[in-house]
Amino acid sequence: MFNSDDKENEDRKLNRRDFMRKAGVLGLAGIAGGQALKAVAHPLNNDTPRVITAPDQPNPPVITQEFPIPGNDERQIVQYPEKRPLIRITSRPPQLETPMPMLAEKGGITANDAFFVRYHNSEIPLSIDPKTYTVEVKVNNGVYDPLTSTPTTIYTVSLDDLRTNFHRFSIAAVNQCSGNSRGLESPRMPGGQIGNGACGCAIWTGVRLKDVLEAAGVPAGTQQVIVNGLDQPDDEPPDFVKAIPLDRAMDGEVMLAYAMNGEEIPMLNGYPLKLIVPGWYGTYHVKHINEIILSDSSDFSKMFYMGTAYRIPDNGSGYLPPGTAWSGPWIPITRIRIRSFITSHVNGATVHTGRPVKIHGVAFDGGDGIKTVEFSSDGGASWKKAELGRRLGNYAFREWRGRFVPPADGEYTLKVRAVSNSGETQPENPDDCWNPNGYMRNVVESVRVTAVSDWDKQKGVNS
Amino acid sequence: MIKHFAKRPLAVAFVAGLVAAGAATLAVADGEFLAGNHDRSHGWGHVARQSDAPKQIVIDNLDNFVVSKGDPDQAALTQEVCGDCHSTDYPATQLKMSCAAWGKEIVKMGNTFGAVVPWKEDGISKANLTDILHYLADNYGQGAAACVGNELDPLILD
Repeated sequence: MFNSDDKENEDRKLNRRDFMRKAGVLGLAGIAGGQALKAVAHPLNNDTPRVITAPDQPNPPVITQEFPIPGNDERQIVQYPEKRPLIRITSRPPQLETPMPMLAEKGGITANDAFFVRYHNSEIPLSIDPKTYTVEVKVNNGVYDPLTSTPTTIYTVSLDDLRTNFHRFSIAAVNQCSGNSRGLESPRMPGGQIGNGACGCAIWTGVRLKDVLEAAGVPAGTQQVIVNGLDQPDDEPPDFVKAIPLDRAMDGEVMLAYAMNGEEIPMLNGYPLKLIVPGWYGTYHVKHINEIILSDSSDFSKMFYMGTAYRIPDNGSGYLPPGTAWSGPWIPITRIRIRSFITSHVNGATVHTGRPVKIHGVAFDGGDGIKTVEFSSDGGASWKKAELGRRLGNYAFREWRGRFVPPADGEYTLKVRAVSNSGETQPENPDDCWNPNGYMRNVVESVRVTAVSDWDKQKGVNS
Repeated sequence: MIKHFAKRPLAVAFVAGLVAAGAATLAVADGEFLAGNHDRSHGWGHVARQSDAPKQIVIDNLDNFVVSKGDPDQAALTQEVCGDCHSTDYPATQLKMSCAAWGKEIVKMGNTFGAVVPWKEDGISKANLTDILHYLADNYGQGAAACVGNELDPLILD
């Protein structure tokens, strides 16, 4: 359990699994029907923990061709608490990927129970009491080092205060992992071997970071706003903290979300408070925020996830010729590059020859908004303009749809590409969006479907 | 507690504008495409009342960290040294890497992520780590036969 005392920590190290199991069983004691995936009914004012479990899944199903990762046949479908069965990348730390058909089932929004999960540290909070939850705003002088700095607390705000006494703000925004699609890169690189589903779009509701910082009082000379959450490294490895330049932090869009699509944020997505930096990659979307540090230094070299990891070549594009190294300067990854996906069909799907096939999906970028989406049903030889769906703001998924009629039986390669309001486009060639960490891949995507004349019979449809 | 209201009437206008824009484009919707009413179902300005009871999730039954492949002694050693931070699916989901590439990963975990400190505390030697390297190369890579012996030289363990 998180926040356990030292004795428990020692026990845990001695026999992690036994300890965790014991704690889990104790926690479940008061629950009827312990397999519940949703919290059992409870009064709103109650100290009894809502214990949320998932079924034991000793032999989870494995997927291959629908969401292929070349050379990887061990992607299992596993159900976690507050989640549907999703693609598991790793269990420690938890990394779950959204199957593409679940990416935007309803109005360009990803459901909370389908939203992807990505942690960095193995010690993640499993139990949180919202009544005692607070966020501390601190001030640090000089270069901030998570291991040695001792910032001074200037303001403490409770979750309840944030929910009730601050102006409520909502924004629709994509959260996409920097390494989304890394498993599709060539040449490959180590790291989370993710397909295309480490992204999602939600309507986030909470408070502006600006309002919280103004309530705390921002000292003159502040350069960076550093955000930390409850997840911790197991032992020595560096804590996950992120830094944002003050002007971005105060732009009125960066926010602390306490609700996701109108509901409580799932624990694995950062309950009860998550940082939202619209238009920037998911690495900035710190979960379980408990500490905000105002630093008068712009130096982030001592923060591992700013100064060492999540960095791209400072060469203009951030991309390199595949397989090459970069000896020049590196900078932190920030803004999402334009992308578009097909979500209506997966690889290997069959469609009816001679009849209209509806295809749809989503497009998004770093905040300019989507201007046009085009799709192709012949592998990119010809392109048609797609119809765009409702606009939920420039940071959200923009739905698109189109249709085509396969003239004959056979395989068809569907493709999609988007253009932003600022003219940003996607590369046709994956070699044009490669870098050594597998970040920011945004190639024009393809899905292969097969048209068959006896589709009705294959699907068991009587028509 | 001071109420931080009224500084941002723009937010209301923004949401109202989106609602209007939504209504205008809803005409193109059909079937499952664009189904749903964002304003109610997705939380524009509406948030369900949240419980203030502690929330707890149980995931230990989903933890996948039992090393079962290959030599049992090497497997146990690998689990002991790597298993605090990584489940077995971490190496299992990587592309089968060369011995040199696995060596780089061990060096990175040690030098960059700071794992050398607990390794020293636990009395893990470079010879132990070489065993782990061979185990990973054999069971999650292209084979230990290609190891040349200098893979862990950059490791600052002593």
